[in-house]
Amino acid sequence: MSSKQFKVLLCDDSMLVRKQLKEIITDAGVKTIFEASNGQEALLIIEEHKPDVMFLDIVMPIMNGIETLKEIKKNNFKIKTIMISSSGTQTHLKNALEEGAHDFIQKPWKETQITTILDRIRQEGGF
Amino acid sequence: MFSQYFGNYLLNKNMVTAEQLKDVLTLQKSVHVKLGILALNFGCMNSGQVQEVHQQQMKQDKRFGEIAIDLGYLNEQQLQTLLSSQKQGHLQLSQALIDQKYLTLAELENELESYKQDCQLTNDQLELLKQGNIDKIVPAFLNFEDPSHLNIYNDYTALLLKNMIRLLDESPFLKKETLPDKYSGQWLICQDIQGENNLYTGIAGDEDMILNMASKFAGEQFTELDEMTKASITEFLNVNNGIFLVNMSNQNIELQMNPLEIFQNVSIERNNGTYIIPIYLAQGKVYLIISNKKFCLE
Repeated sequence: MSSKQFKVLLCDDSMLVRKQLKEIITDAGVKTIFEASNGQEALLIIEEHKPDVMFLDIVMPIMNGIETLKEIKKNNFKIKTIMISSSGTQTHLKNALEEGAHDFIQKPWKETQITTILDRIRQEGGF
Repeated sequence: MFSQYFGNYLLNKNMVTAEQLKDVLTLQKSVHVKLGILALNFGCMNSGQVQEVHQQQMKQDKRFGEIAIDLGYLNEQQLQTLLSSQKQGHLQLSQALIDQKYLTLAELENELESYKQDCQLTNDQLELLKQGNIDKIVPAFLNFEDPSHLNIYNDYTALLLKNMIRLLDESPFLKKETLPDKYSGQWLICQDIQGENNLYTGIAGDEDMILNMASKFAGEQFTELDEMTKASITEFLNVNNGIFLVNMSNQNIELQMNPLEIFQNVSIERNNGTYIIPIYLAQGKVYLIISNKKFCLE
């Protein structure tokens, strides 16, 4: 399956981060990209549009990334979640993986980290 | 890093003009540091001895090091140390100042000594500054009175300076000065860090400085402080604080960050546990505000 058929959700309260991620992911061939600025918005998009992959920040207002992961698990939503956070502490990493995160990238990221993960998910064929 | 500190010191003392400083800071990257400057910086020779060797070089077909050894100003070991240090960045400013004739050797020698004294730096601290060791420089320049938070404040300040270099391509420096009692300005971006040691952090500055930092962080030129500019400056603080949390976590101190906040036209006063620290950048200054309690904004 080509990455062009991915639907990707970007969930970060920073407009700049969403813009920069969107540019990288668009260049990687992804055509359908949704945006959310907190976990609550993300859950609504997941329910309605069923994106395949989500890049999810941890520290956000209203609903943070770990709370969002718990809701995804509870509702049994099928989405591969890549945490993308400035705070890559062992505790955050452990909590995120326990709650079902697929991968973890610490900010500031390199473009190749994003594209490598997208490629890996495509190769895993988990869609 | 030493170039920014010493260069600014010379500017404040009117030893060089802003134009001259800009000139030598640009030139220094291509300058070849000569042994005379090295010997002066290392304190192996004084300016009179360096000049004497230069005069002898006009009369003899010998290198600087050979003549200095002949005259008993250097020994072989010192010469080898100087030769191996020839590529140290901080010396290039000194060489550029001499090459451009903005300072004489004697003036340079005096100013290096005055700088050390005025900043109350020990020889070891001056050496750390020349090596660009930011972790060690911060405690030499700042005097946090709160002993329980001393290390955490020093570590945080050093990390912010390093991230200004790494993420903003800036050359930030501190001054040995009395910290201001109050910040009143256009913008304050802050983030609370909670845990074993609560830490309240902020970057404050006028619109031009915030625009400049936000533009550098995002890699695009912002001309007004709109939502994207705010997103960029807040993300810079967020990334810095995230790295701070990782550093603390590596020391087995687990902390959590709260969402960022941004305020316009605020005043904040220095008090017990709250510090307002000017950080000097090429275009002006911004302030790091750091506290062990929630900011009391006016």
